[in-house]
Amino acid sequence: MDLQQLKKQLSKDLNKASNSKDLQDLKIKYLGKKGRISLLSKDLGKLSQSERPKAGKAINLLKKFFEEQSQILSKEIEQQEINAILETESIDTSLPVEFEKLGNLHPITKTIDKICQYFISRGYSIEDGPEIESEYFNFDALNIPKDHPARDMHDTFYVDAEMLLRTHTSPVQIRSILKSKAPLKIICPGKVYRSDADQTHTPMFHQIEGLLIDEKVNFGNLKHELTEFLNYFFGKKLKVRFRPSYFPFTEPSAEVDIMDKKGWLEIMGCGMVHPNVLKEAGVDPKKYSGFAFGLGIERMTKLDYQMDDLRLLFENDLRLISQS
Amino acid sequence: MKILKSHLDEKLGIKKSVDKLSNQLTMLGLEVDSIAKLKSDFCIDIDLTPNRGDCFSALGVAREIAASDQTSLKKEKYSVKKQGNSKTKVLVQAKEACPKYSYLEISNLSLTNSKGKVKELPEQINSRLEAAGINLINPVVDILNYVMLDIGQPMHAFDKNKISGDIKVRFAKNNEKVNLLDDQTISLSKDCLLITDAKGPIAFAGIMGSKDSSVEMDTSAVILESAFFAPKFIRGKARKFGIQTDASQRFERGVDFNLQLKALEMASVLIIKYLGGSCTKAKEIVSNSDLPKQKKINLSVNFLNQKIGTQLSIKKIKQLLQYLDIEIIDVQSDLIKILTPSHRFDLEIQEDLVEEIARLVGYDNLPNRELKTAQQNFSKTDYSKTLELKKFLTHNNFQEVINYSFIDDGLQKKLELSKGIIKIQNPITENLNSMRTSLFPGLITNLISNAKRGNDYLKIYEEGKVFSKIKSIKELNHLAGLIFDQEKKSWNRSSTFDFYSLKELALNIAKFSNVADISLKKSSSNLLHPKISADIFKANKKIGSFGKVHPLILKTINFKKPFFYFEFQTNELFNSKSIKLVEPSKFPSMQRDLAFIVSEKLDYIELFNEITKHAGKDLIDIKLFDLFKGGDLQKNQKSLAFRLTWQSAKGTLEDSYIDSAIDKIVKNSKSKFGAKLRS
Repeated sequence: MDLQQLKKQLSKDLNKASNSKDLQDLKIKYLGKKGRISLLSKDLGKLSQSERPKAGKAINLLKKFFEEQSQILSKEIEQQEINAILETESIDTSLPVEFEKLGNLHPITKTIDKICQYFISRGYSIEDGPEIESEYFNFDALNIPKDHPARDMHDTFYVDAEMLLRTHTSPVQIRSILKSKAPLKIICPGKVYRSDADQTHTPMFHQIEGLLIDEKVNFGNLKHELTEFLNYFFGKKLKVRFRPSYFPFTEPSAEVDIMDKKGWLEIMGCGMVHPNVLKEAGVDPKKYSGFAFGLGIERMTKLDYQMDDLRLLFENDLRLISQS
Repeated sequence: MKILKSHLDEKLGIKKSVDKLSNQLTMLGLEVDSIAKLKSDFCIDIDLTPNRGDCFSALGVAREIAASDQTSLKKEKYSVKKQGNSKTKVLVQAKEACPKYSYLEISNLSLTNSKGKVKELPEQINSRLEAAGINLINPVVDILNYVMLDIGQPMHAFDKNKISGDIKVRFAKNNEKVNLLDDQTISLSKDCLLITDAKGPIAFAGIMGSKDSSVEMDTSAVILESAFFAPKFIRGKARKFGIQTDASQRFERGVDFNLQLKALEMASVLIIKYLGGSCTKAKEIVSNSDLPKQKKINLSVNFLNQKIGTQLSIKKIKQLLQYLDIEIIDVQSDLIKILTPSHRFDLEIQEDLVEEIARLVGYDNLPNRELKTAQQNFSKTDYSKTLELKKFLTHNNFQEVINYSFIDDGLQKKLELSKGIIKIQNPITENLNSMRTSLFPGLITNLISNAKRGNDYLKIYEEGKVFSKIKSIKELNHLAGLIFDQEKKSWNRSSTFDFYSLKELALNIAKFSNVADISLKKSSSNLLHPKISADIFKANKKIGSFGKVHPLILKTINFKKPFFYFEFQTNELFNSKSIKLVEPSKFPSMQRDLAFIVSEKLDYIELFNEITKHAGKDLIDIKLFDLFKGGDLQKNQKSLAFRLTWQSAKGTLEDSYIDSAIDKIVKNSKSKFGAKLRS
């Protein structure tokens, strides 16, 4: 067979090849050990010295021709094969997906955490205390003796003659001092209870108590600490004012107001820890002084989430609480 | 307390704008709650703190304003012509409760004019009383109330002709009855103070008079009482009987004990002026040793300046104290020795004086100072761990809820959750009358109310305390969740939440304890389906339960569809050691698959335990990859297919090691359970 004929045959074969296996077979057929072109190369030795270069050149041209053609074909085949895969893997991407309803922390938890994270970063530790508390820790130790008019401000739930549902988180002040001694820096978030129910009161609500005791703590420190905290909470520099108030366990005592769109808004109570409280907890008031503050979580939540009726927070209608 | 602005203007002798006045009051600690416009006047409602009984009058409020303006109020003088002495004798037997009793008699007065019409008091008096919310009764009572509103002394008038014999001030006998002005008869205890005559009680002292001795339109002679009753004998009494009066409110906070005669004088002047008559000299029965004492306090100037961050001079401090009627007795270098005024019951220690100075300087004028304390706290508390756990649940699409800690004890009983139940003695409503012993009742209430709104898919959880009292009161932190899945799934989501989804979740929660020693046992909870539930143990301590809710409970709560529940005790969960990281093995791992045919009745865990027992210490993972019933298996059989993985930290494992392990597993499983290897 001459080279012309071989080239024709080869072109015909390549035209017929339709997948990568056909192509592989052709490579063996022509360029394999016993391939048609390989055999021609081996036969070169039989030719005379003068015929050899010409014939060799022709064989190389044929080999090159095959390689070029098969490479082009290989690319085409690869493309066809990928296209086939894509075609079989096609899906309807327009079908709808169902969203699983995402879970959420309760707005109260979010508010508590927003406040706790601030004080944790300032080195306060987080304390906990019992919700069923003794009269001693809830009142007496906080300088609120029996029949003190301040007890009227707390509509207290009793479980027996001496035990009650704590009316504020302040008992944790005493418990923490007894546990950790001075100096200390604590906050305590938690549930408190008062027999009161209307749009702005629920019989259970949440407070955060703060207490700092060290040497030479003064009222200016309290003002600074709480002003900074309120700026953080509301995310802007606020107009804050401190005005005299009364808590039996602090002296001097103050209420903190912030300037709202509608005027001054009461936010929290605070004061310098009363020496009787320090003494009751075994701390020397001549050496140590401190400040304490307490704020209502519901009120902060109400402001942060612009809601009116606090009772909704505990009805647990998922349509409401999942929004936060 | 409500007061007219014009009343304060009169006391102060100057007119301020209502805004300025109310701001001044608020910044002094007399918080103005509201201001109501009344014709050309304003009614100012002040929210008095319980320590400031001295501000329960126009005089008291004006005194504060004057001090803050650094001026003094004019002294008001009343004087009336008096004749003779009252013939009524007063015996004070309860001196400790009534250290001072002052009285006088006015006779020949008339409440009506010649035409029989009630005499009218000036509009100014009536409007001031009305603004203060004090009802107009009759001219005598109105005048006494006005004196109280004006200077702060509560008074009482007895119709002299209705009194027989001597007046006594004594404690009540047990169950002694008094018929009060408002026509209710109350039965007293021994700690209640009474005013009596020969016939019996004529007043519940300091709180309310009796009906029988009261002044009426035809009264022509009165005995006016102006006493000092000690606060601790009045406190709580009015509240005990559900009667709060203007008098009791003032007496329990403390009335100026030097005010009684002045009040008698003022009342007599007004009564004689508007109702006629003449009065006797006042009598005063005083027990000096029982009267409160004006207190001596030493104020250190350094202490004061340190506390509020000021640099006030001794001179300035003395000045400010004097504006508050605080008497300076002596000054010794740093110490100012003072005597408290008789109207202030709240000044006891030098911190109280610090507050007084701070109030007058103005809290807003005190400097803010950054606090420099070295102490910091770095300990990881249960708070942050609880929060991590809550976030884990929210990431698993659970919504957090918060329920009241008190619930209906009937519901707790019905659910058999009433062991050690703590009842509230004075619940706000009957369905909030006991402390929860479990988070279950709250969560099912949430389920029921949300399901009523058409919710057919719900994953909720709550974290909070549960309470019980067996010997002593116990509070435990719990975390519980409820899964209700009845929704028609979307085209691409077929699996409904089942026990195994719950098991995965519960074990993930248990992992928060960082302990390997977690085991499951049959649940002992009454709330859960006995066959579809488990208790989780950490070592030998039960830390939680989970499962399908018991069909009996569904019946009890009248809820038709099944749901799942879990409850953990978080204190136990967090009570654990820190994590130690272990370097992974560098050597290759080996895997073998084994499929056993066993009886359908055999629990997976039995076979699992047998396999792990004989697999050797280098078994690092065992996975059940197929569970098969039917097909070529007999009816009561099932096939369990395991993939076992071995790896050693010390070297490459030999095939022979694995082969001998498998031999042992196969042999023992066969002898113990008749397990056949599936080919």
